[in-house]
Amino acid sequence: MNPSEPSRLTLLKEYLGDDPVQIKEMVDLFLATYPDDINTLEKYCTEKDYKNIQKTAHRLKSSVHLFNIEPSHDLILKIENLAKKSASCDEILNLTKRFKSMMDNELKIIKKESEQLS
Amino acid sequence: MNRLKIFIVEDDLFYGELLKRHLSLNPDNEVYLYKTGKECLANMHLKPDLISLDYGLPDISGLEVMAKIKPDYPDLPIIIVSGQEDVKTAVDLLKAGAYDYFIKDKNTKDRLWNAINKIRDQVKLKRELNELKEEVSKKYAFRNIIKGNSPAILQVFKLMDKAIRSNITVSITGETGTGKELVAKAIHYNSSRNKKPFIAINVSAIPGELIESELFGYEKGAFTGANSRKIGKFELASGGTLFLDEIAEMDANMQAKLLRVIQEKEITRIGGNDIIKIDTRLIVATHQNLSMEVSKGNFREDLYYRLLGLPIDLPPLRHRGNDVLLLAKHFTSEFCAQSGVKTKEISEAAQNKLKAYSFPGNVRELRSVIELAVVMSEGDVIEEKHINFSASNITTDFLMEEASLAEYERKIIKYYLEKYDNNVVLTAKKLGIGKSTIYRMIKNNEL
Repeated sequence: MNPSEPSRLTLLKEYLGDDPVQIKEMVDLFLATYPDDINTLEKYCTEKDYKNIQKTAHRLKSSVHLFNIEPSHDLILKIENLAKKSASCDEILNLTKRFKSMMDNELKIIKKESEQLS
Repeated sequence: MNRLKIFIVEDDLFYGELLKRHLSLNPDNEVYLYKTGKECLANMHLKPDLISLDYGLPDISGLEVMAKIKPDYPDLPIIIVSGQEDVKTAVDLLKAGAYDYFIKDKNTKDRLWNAINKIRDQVKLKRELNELKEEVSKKYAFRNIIKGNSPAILQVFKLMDKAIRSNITVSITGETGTGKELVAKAIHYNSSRNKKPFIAINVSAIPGELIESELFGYEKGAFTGANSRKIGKFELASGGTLFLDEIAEMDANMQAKLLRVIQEKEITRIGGNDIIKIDTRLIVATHQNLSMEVSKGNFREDLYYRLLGLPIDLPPLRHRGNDVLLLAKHFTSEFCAQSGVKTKEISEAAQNKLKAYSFPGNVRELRSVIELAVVMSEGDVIEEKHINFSASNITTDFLMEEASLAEYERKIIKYYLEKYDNNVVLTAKKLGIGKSTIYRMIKNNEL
């Protein structure tokens, strides 16, 4: 992580009153639930299930936002909007893959920051 | 204060859990998290104080959840927290009764926190108001405010009991000072309407040209000086009770308008077009004989029958036998307690003086007489000399009726009979007449 970048955990700290135990628990919860969500999103993309793509992307959007990850947030918002318009599934799938790869990197940063909490 | 019970309905487990933990930072919050609308509905028996509701739930939409909750909990604040930045959705939800609508963004936390604090204050005020209403209901438990054991007042209690159990219009008659407004309040605060307002208005105290705007309200610009909308008493008392005192003083034009309101159960504010449905119980009172006013052409007959409902005639104090003493002792205790002194006794001579007086001002007059007596007496006993009646000339008041001598005789004997619980021997002895005179009058239905 670039030292000039804002911490991924800033918003979580604000929500949880800087309590490291609660922050770690919430990070663990996200790390535990995220894989299911991204796998489900990919599955809906291949099934061309626009309604559920939209719902899943919508749900992921607010979590991603809470980790201060602007590029990933913009991408998942785009996926949600494209699903709303029933746009090309290939395009949505490509964007989802990009999102997944971006998030894989982000998850490492989040995990590292969480471990560094005293 | 009691804790604030908050429901969070959020299908995103991570976001919901975060909100729950965030709101739980305030130990006065008791937070419950539900993932679906159905789960929330199934737990409504826990009686939340507010709900933070995600619009896009997996089973039913936020709008549907709200539609199911609102009929049973119309005052429950529901805050919609949604990722949808859609103005139409927001407007629809607010129209459907949502307390507020927040988009999930960086400010959600602070907005929600502030809204909850505002709701906490409102809930606290509401709880305090309900407690006060409970206290008022207890205060107006009619056995607490209307004292008496005489047959005349026991009959009034019976009728009040019937009035309390129904929604019927009540017409209270009685001389001045007999407690007509107290009876009206006791009926309201003991009825199922006691959580809604009791509004009293004295028709004779309001100029004829203002009574319509007082009762029905007006819209801004309805007439010169109508700078803002005013809600009328009928509307204010909706769900509760409107007490119209001195109804006989209402002018003919207003009587016609009142009749229409009673028939249609709706009003229109002056200068307005909207028809407003009302559910207001009416209790009316007068010290005049309303049927006599109908005969004289001063009061509409159709309105009279509409208002008559359950008639309660409050007996004058002079017809309530030993209630005079019971009330005198009650007022003595009340005034002594207010002054912080030990409750005074009332001497036998003072009691006799009270019993012998006709109390044209009824209970109100007795109350004043006792208040003064408590002040004037320095020891533990109220003596005869402390009992002072008003300056009005009792004899002149009595003679104002301009009746025949026989009629006066009949009234005097009737008065003493009631005073001595129909004891003919005692009455004859007190008046210095023969028992046979009284028996003859009873036989001839003169008494």
